[in-house]
Amino acid sequence: MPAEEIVDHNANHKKHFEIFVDGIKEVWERAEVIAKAIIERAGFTDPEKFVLEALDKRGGKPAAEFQPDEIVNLAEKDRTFFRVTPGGGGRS
Amino acid sequence: MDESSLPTPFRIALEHLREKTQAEARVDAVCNNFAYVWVSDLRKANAEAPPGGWIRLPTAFPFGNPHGLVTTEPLKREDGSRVTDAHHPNHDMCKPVQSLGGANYYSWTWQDCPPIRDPRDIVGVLQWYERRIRRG
Repeated sequence: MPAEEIVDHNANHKKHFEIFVDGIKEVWERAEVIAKAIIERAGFTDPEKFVLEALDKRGGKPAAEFQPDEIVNLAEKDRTFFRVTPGGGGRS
Repeated sequence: MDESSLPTPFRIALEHLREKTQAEARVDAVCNNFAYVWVSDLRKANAEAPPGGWIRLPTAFPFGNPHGLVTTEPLKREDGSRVTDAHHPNHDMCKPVQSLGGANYYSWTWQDCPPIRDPRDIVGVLQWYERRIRRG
């Protein structure tokens, strides 16, 4: 049997993705999730007004950020720990 | 300064900030109903940047919105170039903390941001400042 049939190197084939958003655990059953769904599941009632920041470790620094309508691939590197940050902002 | 004269919701926010992320957060000045809150661990985009800055919070927080940031040195992006977004060197807004080194004012507003509803939203406010620094 070819090795690739024994060992699955493609994380996209994982059945569950356990992530932590502001310390709250979420489990998703697919790799690609729209950011606002992750934000909403973390308890934010108006997810369109926030951005999702992926951290390099628990309590770490942002490695990437996602607008509410962007797709987050939970199979990629640095996609376990997140924080929700207010979007918007102007200047005077 | 004596923080006991500040409104209770503001003090709750400050305590929450200390407990969650910024143990050394303190109010260094109050001017025109805005408190200059020193946050020593404010995350800068550039690794060589000196730590900290003063976030300007209304003493009415969370019933009023944050407005502006004061730093000792000009902020830099990750690549070392200066943050130019609403940067005002030696602006009058720096005066309350000028003796402590405050010399750069960034007149960032809460426009189009989600409403602040709770003193504990201060953690998100700090993250918002860090994001603005990063994107500046």
